[in-house]
Amino acid sequence: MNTDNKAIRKFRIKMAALLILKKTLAVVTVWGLLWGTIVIVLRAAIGMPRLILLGGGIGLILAIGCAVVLALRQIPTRTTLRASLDKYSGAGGLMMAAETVELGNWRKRLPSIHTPRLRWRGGGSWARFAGTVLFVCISFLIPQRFVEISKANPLDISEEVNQLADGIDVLEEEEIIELAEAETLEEKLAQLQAEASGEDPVKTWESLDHLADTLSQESADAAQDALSETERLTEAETLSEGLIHEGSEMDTALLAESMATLSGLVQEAAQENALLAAQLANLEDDANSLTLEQLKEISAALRFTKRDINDRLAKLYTANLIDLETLKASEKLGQCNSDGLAAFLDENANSMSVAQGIEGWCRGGINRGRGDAPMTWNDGTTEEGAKFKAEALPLSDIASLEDSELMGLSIGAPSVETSNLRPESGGLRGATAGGGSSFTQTVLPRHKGAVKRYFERP
Amino acid sequence: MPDNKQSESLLQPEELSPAVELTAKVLAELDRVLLGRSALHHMVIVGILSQGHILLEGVPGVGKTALVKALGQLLSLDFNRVQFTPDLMPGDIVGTHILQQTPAGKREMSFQAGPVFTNILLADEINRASPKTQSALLEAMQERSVTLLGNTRSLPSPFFVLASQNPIELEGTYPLPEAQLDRFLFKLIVPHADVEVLDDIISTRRRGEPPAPTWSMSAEQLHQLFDVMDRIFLPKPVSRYISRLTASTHPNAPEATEEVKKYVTYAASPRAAIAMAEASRASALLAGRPTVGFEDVKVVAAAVLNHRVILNYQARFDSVDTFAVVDSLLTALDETDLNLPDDLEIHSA
Repeated sequence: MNTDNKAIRKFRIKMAALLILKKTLAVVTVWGLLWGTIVIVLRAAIGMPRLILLGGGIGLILAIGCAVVLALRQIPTRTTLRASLDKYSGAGGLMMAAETVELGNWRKRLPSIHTPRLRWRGGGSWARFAGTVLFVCISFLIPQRFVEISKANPLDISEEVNQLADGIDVLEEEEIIELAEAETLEEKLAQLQAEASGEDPVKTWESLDHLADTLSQESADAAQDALSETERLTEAETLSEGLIHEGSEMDTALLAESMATLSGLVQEAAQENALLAAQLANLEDDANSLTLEQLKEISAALRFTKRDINDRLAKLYTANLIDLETLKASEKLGQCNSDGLAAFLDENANSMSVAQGIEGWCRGGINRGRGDAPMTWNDGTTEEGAKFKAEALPLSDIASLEDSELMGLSIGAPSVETSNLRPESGGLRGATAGGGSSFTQTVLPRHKGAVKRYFERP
Repeated sequence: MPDNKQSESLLQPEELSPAVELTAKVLAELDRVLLGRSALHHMVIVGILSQGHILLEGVPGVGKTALVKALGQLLSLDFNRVQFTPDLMPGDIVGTHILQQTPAGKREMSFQAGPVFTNILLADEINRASPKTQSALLEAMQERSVTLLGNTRSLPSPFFVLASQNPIELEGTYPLPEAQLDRFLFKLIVPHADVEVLDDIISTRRRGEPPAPTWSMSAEQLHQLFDVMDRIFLPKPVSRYISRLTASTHPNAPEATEEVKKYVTYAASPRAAIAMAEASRASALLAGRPTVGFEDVKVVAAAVLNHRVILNYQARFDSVDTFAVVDSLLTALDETDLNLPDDLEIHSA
């Protein structure tokens, strides 16, 4: 092999290596970007495991293969390389000529061959490649929770959940709901918080509202019971206070009836309220022989029980389970003045029992009627005359020929009168019957020329 | 006519060296006769070896006519000078038929050859003649023949037109048409002489007259040089480079530079590529090589292209001449057409 051929071969290998490296770097960079993007997309969309996605690395082999093919196609021909070596060696065309003709004695005078230096300014390519490698690494190493888009953004309902949890605790603590029910509600709440999704917040809010409604309903029922109980306890307390302060003014029969009524009220209340029952456990079961001390003891127990009920309602209010009106109603129902009760009962002893009397006393008196009197509905208004009623109209009368009146008979053909009368004013001025127009413009003599020219134009 | 096919074997050193010595001798003699014009003499000899016509452009007094006269003496060839004037007629150049009486008393039209029938025609101040007269040279320059009244007469071989023109006097002159400009192989600019040269001329030349050549080349030797020229090898990559260079003078060419796209109106013709190839061969011969290299093309490119590339008015506004445009092409075009990516550079070791 001649020296120039060796030099060309060396130069060609050098250039091929550089082109392959350059092209490989470019193709791998593109492939890496593609791979990293696919990895992130698949992990985010369907949560594909990373181990499977590592299989994409096989594509690198294909990419490198493509790069090598592309680079080999880019390598200049031997003739071009020979020309390049001729140029950089200052051979003056002798090396180029050597490809097709025999140099003869000129070969001895051929200058020494200088292989030119190839320089690749590949800083940008290397930087892009490094960036791509980093991108691929990040696409694999980034935690799943940061890329997962299949699960929608969680909805932050912690504040509402905490509030409802507090409500459940209060209801459980106050024994308004059973322990099992409380646990069920807490489980539902926890599930709701876990499944709260920003993708469908309405569903979450509806569930929260449903849970809040359940708690409110339970609270409302409990509050209503508490109000009723407070009312009964107030009546009993008022009666006991009345007996304590004005019992001596009552006659024997009324006193006995009042004692019996009080005893009945207290027993009834104690059956529903364990606290009251516990406090009155030592009380003798003789309704007609309640001493002053016993009455005071009953009164104190009733007050204590009322306060306890009021405290429970206050807790419910604090937990936003009942409104302020309910709490105020409880306080209002707990107030009843016993002054003058003995006189009132004595005055109405013939018309009502003591039980009816004390009930009316604490509810504002019998003259103004009961505050919670039920509304009765009767004699409903009819819709007659107020509601539109569709009614088909009768057909209009058609004049029958039988109803026509004969004016006369003609034996000739009917004649059509042509009238030359034309209106001289108004919108139909100048119009004639059958003339085809409803209005005829009068053209003044001095305008005739212009109008004529207008219609004569091509 | 030389064969267009490349020689199958290179000229060997022993074959080439007499021709190289001869051209060196001609150059040395020219340099001796006319001082300080070595580069110009080199290009003129390249033009002569290429058998091309040369247009010398320069201000009066720089030695254009003296150069042509010295060349005529040096080459031992017939030399005619025509001073082109506005009233010069075509017949004054190519010749005319005149009525003559034969010794037998018969009258007939006989052809009186004009000054064009010579080896070297000095067309002095060629742009002073009318376009009609200038056009009389078209056939002579291209076909090397003259046709008059249906008779075509060949001109002596070799035939060169060495024309001169003055670029500064525009009044009463007629710019050469593009067709005629294209027939000139080179348009060479004859520059002012520098101080040293002027000093030499004044001190060594009485009234500035150049000395007569002490040696002259015979017509036979000149034809031998032409034969050698035919055997100078033009490698394929070099011919490709010449083609690309010529094609790149077109504003729409893919390899055209920004200067070409911006300033060129009309590009070089195929005749320019042919001329460049021939001139490159001559340059290689003068360099003592049997093959044409890229450097030979670069030596002759500007002289070949500068009168063939027509610039637009924008170039005038920007003071850009054809030399700048050609220079941009020579700088931008990779001779070897490696087509390497932009970020891959190749440097000499």
